[in-house]
Amino acid sequence: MQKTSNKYAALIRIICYILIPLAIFSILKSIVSIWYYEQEDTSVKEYNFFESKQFANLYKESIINNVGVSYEKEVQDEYQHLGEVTSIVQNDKYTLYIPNYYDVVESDVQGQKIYYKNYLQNKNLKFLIIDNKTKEAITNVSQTLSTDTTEEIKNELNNYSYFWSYEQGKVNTNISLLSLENIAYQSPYTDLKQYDCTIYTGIQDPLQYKDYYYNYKILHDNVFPIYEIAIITLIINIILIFLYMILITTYAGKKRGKQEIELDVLDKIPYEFVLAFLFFATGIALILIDNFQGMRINEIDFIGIIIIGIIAIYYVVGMLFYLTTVKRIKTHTLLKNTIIYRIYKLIQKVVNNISNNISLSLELAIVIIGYSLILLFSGFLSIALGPIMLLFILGLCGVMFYWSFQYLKKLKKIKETIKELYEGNTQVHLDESQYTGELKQLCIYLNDIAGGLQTAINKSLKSERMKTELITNVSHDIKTPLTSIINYVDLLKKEKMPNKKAEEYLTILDQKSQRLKHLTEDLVEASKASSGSIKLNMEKLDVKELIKQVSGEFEDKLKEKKLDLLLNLPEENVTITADSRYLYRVIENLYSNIVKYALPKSRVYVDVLLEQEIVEINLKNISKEKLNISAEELMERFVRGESSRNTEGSGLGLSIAQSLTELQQGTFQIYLDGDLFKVILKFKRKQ
Amino acid sequence: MYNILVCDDDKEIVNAIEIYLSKEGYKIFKAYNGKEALEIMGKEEIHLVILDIMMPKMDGMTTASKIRETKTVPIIMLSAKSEDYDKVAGLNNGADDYVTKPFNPVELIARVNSQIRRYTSLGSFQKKEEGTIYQTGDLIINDDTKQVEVEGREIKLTPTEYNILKFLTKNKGKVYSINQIYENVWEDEAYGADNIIAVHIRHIREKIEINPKEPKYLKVIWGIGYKIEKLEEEPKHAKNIK
Repeated sequence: MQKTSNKYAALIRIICYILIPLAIFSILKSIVSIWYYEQEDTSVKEYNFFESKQFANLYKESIINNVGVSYEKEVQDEYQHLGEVTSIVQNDKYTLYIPNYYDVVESDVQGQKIYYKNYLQNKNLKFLIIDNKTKEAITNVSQTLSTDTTEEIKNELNNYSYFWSYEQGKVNTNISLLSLENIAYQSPYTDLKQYDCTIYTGIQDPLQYKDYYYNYKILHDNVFPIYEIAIITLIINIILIFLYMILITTYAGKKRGKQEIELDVLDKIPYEFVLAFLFFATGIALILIDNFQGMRINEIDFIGIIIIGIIAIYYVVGMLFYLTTVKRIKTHTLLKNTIIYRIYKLIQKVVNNISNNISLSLELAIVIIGYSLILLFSGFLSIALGPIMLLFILGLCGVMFYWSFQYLKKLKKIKETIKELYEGNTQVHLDESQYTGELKQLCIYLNDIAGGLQTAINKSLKSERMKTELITNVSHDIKTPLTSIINYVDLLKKEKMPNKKAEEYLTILDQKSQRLKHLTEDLVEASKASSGSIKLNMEKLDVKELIKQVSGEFEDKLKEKKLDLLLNLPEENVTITADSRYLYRVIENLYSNIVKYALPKSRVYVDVLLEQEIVEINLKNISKEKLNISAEELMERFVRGESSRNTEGSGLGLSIAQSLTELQQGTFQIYLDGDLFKVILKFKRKQ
Repeated sequence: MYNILVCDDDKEIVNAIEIYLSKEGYKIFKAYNGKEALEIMGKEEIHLVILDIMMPKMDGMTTASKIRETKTVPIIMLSAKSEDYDKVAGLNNGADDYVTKPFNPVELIARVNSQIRRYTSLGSFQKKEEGTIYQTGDLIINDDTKQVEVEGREIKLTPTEYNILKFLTKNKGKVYSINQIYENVWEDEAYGADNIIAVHIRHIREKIEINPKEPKYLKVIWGIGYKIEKLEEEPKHAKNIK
C-alpha cells in the first residue's frame, strides 16, 4: 500500500501545489465577501454597485479628498509643486483650469486655499469646482470639449448617470445615500459648507476608466452574489488546505519505488541559510509589492500581474521552505544540519580530544587560565560596555560553577563506587561514557578491577561448589563398600578366631574401618562448611544453656579421661543469634577435641565472657602432646596436634568448627602457649 | 515368624543383613532391585521391607511409593545419602524409618524390631493398662505403676530420670530450659551453673532412643532447652492413609 501510493507521490504533490493557491484564493474571496456583506444593507438581495454603501463611501471620500481647505503649512508644502495645467480658459465669467492627472491646483483666498487633487485613482469621477470669490474654476471633464464654458460642463455633469452637486448651500444629487436628507450618512456637504464654492460632480455608468471605482465594482460584482455560500466555502476551503498540507507533509521527500525519504541538494544546505533566504525573500517580496503598489503607472493591470507574479514566486519559495523543513524533521536532521550544531560538535570534539589526551592537572590549569583570561578580557570590555558585560561575566561564573559542581559530583561518584568495591560489592559498574579525560581512565580501571574480582569470586565459588559436590558423591560411593567392610568385620568378631594374632588383626580392621567411616562423614561436612553450601536457620539462643547442655553430653567422656571441667558462666542470660544445630556442632567438635587431646587428669576451663556487644566463649585445656606447630598450621585441614595419626579423629574437627563459626557471623581463634591450648569464639550479643 | 524383604543392589550388604536378622528369628527374602522387590511383595506375605535408595531398574523411592499404593507394611530406607533432605524425601515417599550407610548392625536390628512390634502388636498395651497414662507416639508412661514403655520395650529409669521424663511428656511439644526443668521437677529454685539436668537428659535419651544422637522422642534444642516431641497417637501408618 505504502509502495503503490509512493508511486504517485510526485503527482499528488504537484496537484496539491496547484490546488493550495486556489483554496487560498477562495478563502480570501469568501472573507472579502463576508466582510463586504457585513458593510452593506443586508435587506437588499440584488444590489447595484452604484447604490451600495461602498460606492457612496468612495464618492464621498473622492469629493472630500479632491476638494479641501488647508490652513496648515505642511499641507501647503505637500502641494507646493504645482502640476502643469494643460489649459486655462477664460472665455467665460470664470477662469477655468483644466489640469493634468494627478496635479494639484490651488487658489489663495484670504489665506485660505482651495485645492484640488486630480487623482489617477479617481479618474471616473468628473467634477467642476468653482471658487465663487476668486472666480476661478477647476475641472477634469474632458479637455477636448470645444465649448469650455462652465455652464456647459455643469449641464453635462448633471446629465451623468450619477451626479452630486453643491451650489449655494444646496445639494443636488440622484445618489440617495449622499443626499442632504440622509443626515445619518453625513453628506460631503458637511465638510464643504464652510467654503464659498460650488461643486459639480458626476460618474458615468458604465465606468470608463480602470480606477478605484472600477476595481470596487468588479469586487462588488464578484463577491456580492456569493455571500450566501461564503461561510461554507470558507470552512470547506480551510479543511481542504489542511488536507493538502497533510498530503504534502506525508508525501514530502517520497520518491517512486523508494521507501526512505530522499534528501536533495536543498535539504543538505544548513538550515540557517534556508531561514536566512526565506527572510530575504520575504523582505524582497514585501518591498517589491509595496513599490509596485505605490508606482504611478497608468496601467493598473500590469502592476497587478507583476504583484501576482511576485506572490506566485514567493509561494513557491514558501512551499520549498515548508517541504525541506518537513523532510528535515522526518529524517531528524532539522537540528543536526545547522551551522550552530556543527560548530557545537566541532567544539565538543576538540574539547574531548584535548581532555582525553592531557592529564587532569593540565586540564584544570587550562580551564583556570582560560577562565581567568576571559574574565580579564570581560573586565576590560565591561568598562566600555557596562551592564551587558557584567551580565556576561555573571553568566560565565554560573557556567564555571556548574562545571566545577559537575566535576566534583563525578569524582564523588567514583569515590563512592570504590568504597562500595572496597566493602565487598563486586557488582559495581560505572558508565564510562559519562566521564572524560583522566576521570574516564579512572572509570575504566575501576570497572576492570571490579569485573576481574567478580570473575575470580565466581570462579572460586564455582570450583568450591564443584569440589563439595565431588566430595559428597565420592563419599556416597565409598560408603557402600565401607558398609560391607564394617558389617563383615562385625560378623567376623563374632566368629572364633584361630589364634591371638588373628584377633589382634581383627581389632585393627575394626578400628580402621570405624575411622574411615568418621573420615568420610567429616570430609563431607568440612567441604560443605568451607564452601558455605549450608542452609542456616538463624534464631535467638542462650550460650549458657548450650554450654550446660554440651557439658552434660560430654560428662561421661570427660570423666573417663579424668578431666575436670570448670564452667565459668555469667549470672545473666547470654543471648546470641545462631543456628542451634550448627553452633552445637562447633561446641561439640571443640569438646570432643578436648576429650581426644587434653592431658588426662588435668583441668579444662570453659568461660563465657560478656562484653557490651560481644559474647566470648573461651575453652582452655592442656595438650597431652607437645604442640610443636603454629596455630595457623593447626587450623589447616587434616592437621592434628600430634604427628601420628593413630587416633580416631579425622583432623577436620577444628577446620569444620571454624568454618561453621564464620558462617554464623562469629570469629574463631586458636592460641597456643606452651602446652596450653585455647580456643576463643566471639559472637555478636543480642539484647 | 515374620517375613522381612531386604532389597539392595549390593549383594554382600543383603547377605550381611540376612545373617543379622536371621539370628533374630526373621525369615529373609532377598531382592536386588526395585522390580524384584515388588514381585516378591506380590507373592509373599511380608511384614517389613528394608530398601536401598540407589538401585538399578527401579530406585528405592519409586519402589516405596509403589508398595504404599497397596500395602501398609513398615519400610526402612537404607541409604548412603545422609543429608537432611534425603531423609525427608524418603519419609515423604512412604518410608517409616531411615538408616544411613554405613549402619551400625545393632541399631538396624533395634529399628527392625521396633517397627515389627509396632506393626504387629501395638495397641494391646493401652487396653490392658489402666491408670494415669502419659503418651506420645509409642512412648507410654503409666504414672500409677511408674512403668515406661517405648515401642513395646519396657524401660528402666531412675526416679529422677522418671520425673524429668514424666514432666516433659506431660507437657509434650513444649521446650523447657535446664532451669525450668529444675524448678518444675525439684520444685526448688535453680541456682548456679548446673549441668546435672543435661546429664540426666542424656541418660534418658540413651535409654529410650534407638540412636541417642538422632533422638525420636526426647529432642535437644541446642542453646534453648529440651522437649518431648508431640507425636500423634496414631493407628499404624495413619500418615499413609491420606
